[in-house]
Amino acid sequence: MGYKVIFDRKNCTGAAACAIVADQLWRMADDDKAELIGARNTGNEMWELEIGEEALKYHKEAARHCPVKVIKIVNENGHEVHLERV
Amino acid sequence: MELSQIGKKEVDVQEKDIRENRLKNPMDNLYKKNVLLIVHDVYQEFNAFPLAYGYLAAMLRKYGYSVEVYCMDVFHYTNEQLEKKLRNSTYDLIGAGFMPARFEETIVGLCASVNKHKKDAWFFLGGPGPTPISEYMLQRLKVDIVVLGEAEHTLIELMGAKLGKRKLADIKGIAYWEGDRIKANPRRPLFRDLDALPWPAWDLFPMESYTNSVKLSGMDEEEKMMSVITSRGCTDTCNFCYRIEKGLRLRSLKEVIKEMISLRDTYGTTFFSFEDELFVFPREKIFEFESLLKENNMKISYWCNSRAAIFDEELAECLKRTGCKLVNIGFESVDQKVLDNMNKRITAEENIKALEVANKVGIGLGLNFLWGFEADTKETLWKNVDAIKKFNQFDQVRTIRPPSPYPGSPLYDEAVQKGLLKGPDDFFKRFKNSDLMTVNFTRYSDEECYKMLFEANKELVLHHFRNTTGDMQAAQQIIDGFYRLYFEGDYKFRGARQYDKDSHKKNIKDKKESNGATESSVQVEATVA
Repeated sequence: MGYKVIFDRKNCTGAAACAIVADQLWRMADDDKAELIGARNTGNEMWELEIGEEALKYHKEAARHCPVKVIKIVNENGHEVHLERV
Repeated sequence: MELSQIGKKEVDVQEKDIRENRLKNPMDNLYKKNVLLIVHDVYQEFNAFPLAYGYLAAMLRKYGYSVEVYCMDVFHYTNEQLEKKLRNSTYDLIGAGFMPARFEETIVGLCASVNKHKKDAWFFLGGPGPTPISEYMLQRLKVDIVVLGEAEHTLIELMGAKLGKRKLADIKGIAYWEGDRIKANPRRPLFRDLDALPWPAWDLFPMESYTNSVKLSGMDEEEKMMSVITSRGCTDTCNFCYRIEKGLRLRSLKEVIKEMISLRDTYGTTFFSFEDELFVFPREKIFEFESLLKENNMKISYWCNSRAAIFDEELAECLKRTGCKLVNIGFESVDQKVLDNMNKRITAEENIKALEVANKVGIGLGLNFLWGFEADTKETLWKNVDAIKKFNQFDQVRTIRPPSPYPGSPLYDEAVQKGLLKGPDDFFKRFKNSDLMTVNFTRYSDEECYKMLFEANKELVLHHFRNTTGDMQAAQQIIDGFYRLYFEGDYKFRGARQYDKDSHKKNIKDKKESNGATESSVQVEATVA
């Protein structure tokens, strides 16, 4: 099953939790905001990345720990993937 | 080029000639230190090692500058003694850092003393106190420079400017006087490679005083404690908190272990005080920490800070196995509306669960609770009291404080927006003690709040001493301290823990039965909004 990570970078506060719990997939950029590695900008600082099952758990961790909830993961049907609370 | 982005190349080039010059005239260094760092007094006998100063001193030394540290905290030097010292010495830079709570009581007088006798030195301030309100600080205290945010790299460039190698206008992360105008340069990009920083310059500090000063629950009388930091910052944004930099950055644990081994071998430290605001994050870090301790045959004791949301049984067991004697958690409240009020990003159930886990695993617990937010009521106060009583393991005497809206925090902005505060000057005029309400956010009058807080804290102090040493005279002294603070304007009270010197001995009279409470039979239930 395929998934899509949607990252609202405009509202990222630079907490860096994503870059710590999933450091192969997220990193901190020079402007002190997070960067979703390999994602494309779909406009207005919204970034998207198609991912497979193997990367899902790491992105879920990143999303779970984000204090401002600017990371969402949706499945093929566009439904948001459930995240347990931190 | 920016120092923090390009590493130290530029500074290495610019300061190389300075180091060479100094070698040509070694006698200069016998009489003049480049930088004096002043650690202000906090008027208590328990002084934790001032890590920020340790890092700054180490960084300056790494770049060839001589540094002196004046520890007013340990020796309780007065401003008159400081003035005498300054009269007999000359420096290029003199600096001090502080938290906002120390401003009126300590920093105003200290700055006046330094200004009188600094000669041609530049006097700078830094840390969480001055950073968010640099313009106010420059005007009020007449200091030369405020360093904005972390200062390690900024100070190297400031020394370069003082020695004529740079212009102040080119140094990021400072606010300063340019003639009679204040100029604030852009902030410095965040320095992420914490492993590149040198370890604190311990040898410049009275280490015997620091390592023997603090005694915590689970510590032997002879055991030596030292502060270490494994990360900087926090992932969260609770509204009462202010940090000088955004987000969380980690050091590598291998580097941390090396530092701990060095502290053990040099100063005999076996108890470590992890000063990280969020030591327990991510949770895998703690399991890696355990492996590294085993690999290095290190048996240690320590205390640390965690968030309740991440604190589950597996993690608590691991913390205990690795020698954690006390985990300090900012629960703040067991009422959901209040937790939401403070943007705590946690549920009341998660708080209760973390409290239960700590009791089940039997790990020491620092119970931090606040009362006095907009959603707080008499009922929420007593829910907090009941929670503390029920889950207390008596590692420390714990009481409840109101939140202080320190400049830079979202709570400060909220208070200004609502017209409850006029600005920094108003804040400092009102702030007297962190156990008092600087701003009343509640629906009650100040008098009603203090009456309620007095009854609540009296109950907590009595409960603590009944279940530990049984020294009710000591309990009464603390209660009297609260009374004088709340109702008689005696602001010298330093918080209940400062007056409880025996809790660390853990002389628990009536040992709690497995996981149960002693006196409190009140069931604490989470209230979900």
